[in-house]
Amino acid sequence: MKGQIVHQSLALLVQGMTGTLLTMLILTGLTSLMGSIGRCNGDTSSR
Amino acid sequence: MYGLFTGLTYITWQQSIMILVGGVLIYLAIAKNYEPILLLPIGFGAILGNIPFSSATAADGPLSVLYRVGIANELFPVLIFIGIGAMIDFGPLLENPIMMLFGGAAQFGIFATITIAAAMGFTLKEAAAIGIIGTADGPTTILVAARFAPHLLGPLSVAAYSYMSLVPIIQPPVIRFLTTPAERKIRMCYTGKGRIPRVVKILFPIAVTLVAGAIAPVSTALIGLLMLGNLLRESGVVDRLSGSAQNELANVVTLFLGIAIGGSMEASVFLTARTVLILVMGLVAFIFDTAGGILFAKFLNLFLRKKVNPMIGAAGISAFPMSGRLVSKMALNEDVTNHIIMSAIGANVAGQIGSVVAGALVLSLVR
Repeated sequence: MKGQIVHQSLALLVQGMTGTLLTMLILTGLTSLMGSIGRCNGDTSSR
Repeated sequence: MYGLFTGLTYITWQQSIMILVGGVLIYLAIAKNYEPILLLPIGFGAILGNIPFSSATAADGPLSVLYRVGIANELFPVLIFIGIGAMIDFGPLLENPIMMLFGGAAQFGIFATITIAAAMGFTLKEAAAIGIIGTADGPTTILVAARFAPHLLGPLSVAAYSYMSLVPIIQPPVIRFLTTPAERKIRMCYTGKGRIPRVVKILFPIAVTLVAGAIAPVSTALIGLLMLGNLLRESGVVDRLSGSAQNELANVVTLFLGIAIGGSMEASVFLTARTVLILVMGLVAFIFDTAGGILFAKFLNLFLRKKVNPMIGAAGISAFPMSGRLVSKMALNEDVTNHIIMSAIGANVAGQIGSVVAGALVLSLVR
């Protein structure tokens, strides 16, 4: 039983870290894109 | 006279110790300034909850009602996210998007600790609730704990908030152990060329909500309300709402959350060997978070032409702004001309998003 839980937790480690990093990678792309668009736009009113 | 002094005559030694624990939390909050906003109400709640026949924690007592309406159904932690969102400026992250990755890598402690806790004999749900201390994010910890291990909510909350305040003590030894002086002196190029337009700052919270919601629908409540708070801030047209979210809403909900958690800290649940294990596991989670972020930065450096200062990885935890400031200060200690504050704060802000994403993934993956 304990071995099964540890096995599940190891699977969670792999899935969880992969999912977190993938999501953050997608958000990096999104943030990058928005930052680039913003700079091209040239509107700096918030600063 | 019957009924008077019953609190004194019926008190058990376990309740006395819990009242003492409440006193220690109040002391830490006032004398040491350890997360006083939450530890003070938790400490007082623990006192209220351990007075024999306390009306505060009776079936219809105020603390029991607060627990049912705000913690058992996860409302309070989610509401706090509106306030947190209204306090965050995503500018440094928008100017340096690569920092987003460090906000993900520094969540390693969560999943590593879940594995360790499972190996120590906790059930998978309990292990998940313990590992989530590694989000370094109080509301997320409380939300996951309330769903997976409500009986451990007291020690989990105390551990989460205590270690957040101890970031300046926990992180430096790990950073020094995993980095060389030369690596700590690496400069982070910050040109300030970003000048993020207002329209981007407005669209960012909406876009993140849509993307995160599409990837992990269970994160919608957390990310969505965090981003709603940020939209209130960046829109510039609802300053009153933004101010209320940052102050009145966040403060009132934090107060209710604190005393309700404190009231749930009954001696029979808190005074066990498991509480000690949870406190140790919480520390382990923070150490692995820090190590995960640093090692990820070093891994990236294998491929990057312009290296990043690996300490930035340690700033990817959600403890904002302590971790970002700490890393910046450590860089200045190595070289007084090395200013990495903007990059560190960018990673730290990313940690706020990363912790919520990781928390949502734990909620969806653990059955």
